[in-house]
Amino acid sequence: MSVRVNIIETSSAARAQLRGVANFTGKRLVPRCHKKVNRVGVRLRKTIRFEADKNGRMEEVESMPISVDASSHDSVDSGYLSILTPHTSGCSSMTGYRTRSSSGALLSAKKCCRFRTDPFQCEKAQRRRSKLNHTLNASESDYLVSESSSVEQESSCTNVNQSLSLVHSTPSCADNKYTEILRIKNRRNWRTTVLITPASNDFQLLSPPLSPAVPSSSFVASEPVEEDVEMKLVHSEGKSQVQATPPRLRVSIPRIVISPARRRISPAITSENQKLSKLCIADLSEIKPKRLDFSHRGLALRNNIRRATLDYTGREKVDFLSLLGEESNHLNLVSKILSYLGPPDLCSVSMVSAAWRRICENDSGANGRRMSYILRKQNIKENLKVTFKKAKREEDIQTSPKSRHYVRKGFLVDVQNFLYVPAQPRPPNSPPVSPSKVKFHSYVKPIQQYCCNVATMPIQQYCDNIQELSKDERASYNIARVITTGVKLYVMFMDSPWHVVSFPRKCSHYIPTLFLESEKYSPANTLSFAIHLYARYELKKNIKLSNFKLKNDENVQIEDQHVSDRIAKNTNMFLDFAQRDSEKWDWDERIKFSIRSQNLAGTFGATLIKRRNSICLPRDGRCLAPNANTLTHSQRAQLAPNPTGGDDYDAR
Amino acid sequence: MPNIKLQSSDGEIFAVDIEIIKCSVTIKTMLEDLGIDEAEEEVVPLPNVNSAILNKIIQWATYHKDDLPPPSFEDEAEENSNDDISSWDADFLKVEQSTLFELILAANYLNIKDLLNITCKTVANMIEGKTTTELCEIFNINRDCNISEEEQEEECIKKEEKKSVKKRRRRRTRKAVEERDGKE
Repeated sequence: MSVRVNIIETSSAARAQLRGVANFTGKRLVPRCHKKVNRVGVRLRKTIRFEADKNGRMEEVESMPISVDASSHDSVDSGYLSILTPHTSGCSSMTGYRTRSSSGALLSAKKCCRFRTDPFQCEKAQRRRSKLNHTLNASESDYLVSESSSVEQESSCTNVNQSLSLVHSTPSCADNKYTEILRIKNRRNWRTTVLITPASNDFQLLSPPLSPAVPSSSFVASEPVEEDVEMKLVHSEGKSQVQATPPRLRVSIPRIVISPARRRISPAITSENQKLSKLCIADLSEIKPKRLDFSHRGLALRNNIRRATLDYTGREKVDFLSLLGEESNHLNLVSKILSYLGPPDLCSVSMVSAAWRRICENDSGANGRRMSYILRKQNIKENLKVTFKKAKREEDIQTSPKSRHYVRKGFLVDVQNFLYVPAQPRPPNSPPVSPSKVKFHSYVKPIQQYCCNVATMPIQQYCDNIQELSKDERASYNIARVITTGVKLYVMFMDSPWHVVSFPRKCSHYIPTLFLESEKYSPANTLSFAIHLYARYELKKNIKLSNFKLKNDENVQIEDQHVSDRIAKNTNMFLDFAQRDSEKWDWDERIKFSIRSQNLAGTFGATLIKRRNSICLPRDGRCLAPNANTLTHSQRAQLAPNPTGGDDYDAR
Repeated sequence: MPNIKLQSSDGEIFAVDIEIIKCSVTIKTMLEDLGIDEAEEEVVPLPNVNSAILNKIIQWATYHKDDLPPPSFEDEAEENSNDDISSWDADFLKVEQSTLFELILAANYLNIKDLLNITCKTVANMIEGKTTTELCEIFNINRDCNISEEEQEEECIKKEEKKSVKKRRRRRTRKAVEERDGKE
């Protein structure tokens, strides 16, 4: 394989470096040999001759055969010259890709190459190499070179200075001095032993042209553009102007002994590579010197090029989240934006696109909120299903004829359902003791119905309904009024009319027992409390609301201390509640009344009627017309308080 | 008042009052650390901010120069809750999406917290209450995945189930380890 290489060196620093390793003969400067170091530690040897013309332009004089011991390596690099500048070392070549430097030199980088990106380190390595080169420049005999794999890896593909120095130093390595030095330095890392024949003394390094060169457009060159040292790989086919032809030398094929750690199948030389190698610059005068702009404007422009993010001004619509979260690494901004969004919005965001979804999922806070929202939503759905099922079941229960059995089992059934059960009127098991008792029962019946109806009614309805009573119902109106007012108060106290539905079954049949057993059943207990409270309300209107405390009330005469305590507690609670709405209540009525016994219902109900006091509805001030006069004397007597207590409501 | 010269990425130089631009933590820290003398006419390059955006930022900073200093990092959680944008700021941010994007980047680069908050909040407001299709239209997004709400829910539930299974396993392993230790 034969490749002609023309090196155009512009940098004085690079020239000086070359000077250290090459012989200058007037304007003729011939590199002794170019070596390529492959990854597995193979140092290839390429010999190229250059010649400079009078103008200082370098042109190839003749090609030197580059001998590659095919048996010794199978590297990707075979046949290619690796020349790089210090500036390109950091950024130009990428691992695993063959590329061409800005200067036109074809680079072949390897996948596992480690680049020396730090320019300081590059310089350091360069200095070290040049130092070695100086020492080794004295003699040009064969030498045995052992290289460390690590050094090779660093130097093989990127670092121009390194490669250059290697290139120029290798032939001049004369004796084992170099080997020894290197061995001392990198004893552990030496892996490969390469035997390279020395270059001839006639090899001359042509001096670089004085004017800087710019890469021609004929080259397909990769980044970077900015370099102060530029080198060209030019394959000129016999049309170079030769001024002084150096003696043709045949370079013996270097015997390379390799012990590669790992063999790789290389792509060898592809047709593309061959094409690239044939690229040439016909007229070097086309190459214009690159002017470096150090002005503020130039710096700014360069900074603009180096901007981390692209300039998006002028775009009508911008995908904020994708650009911030995926294209640039501004995750803090993304999380900030997402933090302002609620869970439903996060859900819709995650459904927009795959990128947005990823972004949403990657942000832990937003994702957590979204997940909890979705799970909550799911739970609500499930609960709704359960509720519907339950409601349906309850409906079934209530409509079924066996609803009473369900009640025993603990299901809550509407009171009205009880009432509307088509129960056939039975004759009483025991005849009433006295005709007054019969009368009492006749009163109780409508009350019973009315009370239960009221209990399931909202308050306003109750107020309207009470005036629609029939004449027969009016007969028992007084009792009903007392009870239902108590119920109403209770309902108001509980802030819901439907609490009353859970009457004990027994109560619904016989209202007085409700009061008698009020201590046993909590709803009835509360109802009795409400009725009692109503009585208190009627009684204690002369007392200010703030002083309306049962404990220290002298007018309260309750025999059972336990009951009185309980009532006092409940009443105080109610008063706290009522005090809030005191503006709506009419507290001006003054009625005096005392509870004489534990039998609250009989006591205060009858007493109220007895006293013939008008009762005002607290809410809207409408008078309910107690109409106590409608009751006969016997009825009044019947409903008179029983001082002995008990459930005997018979009139005396 | 002493001025500082800021150079945008396209080379334009803005002379700004130091007190105004000190709302940028980046510039403030730079001035403090490097000790750039106020008398010196040093130009501070801002390579990530173009002249239009820098102009806008200066405009914003000038308006807010008398505002209270930004709260400390500890109050960051509270900061988010206060999501009101003043009317002036709202008008100020009625710009193209691209400009808003650049403003966000610039505010982040210059570390101007208040500006960053209001810009991010503006973007959030653009997203808030919109359906998926509306969002696609607003931000010109090609909808490459059609995920329904149900699918999303299912995924979430699956994830939760996985988590719970993992937790159970951990508990079991812990218990097993504890039992072993107890026996030993």
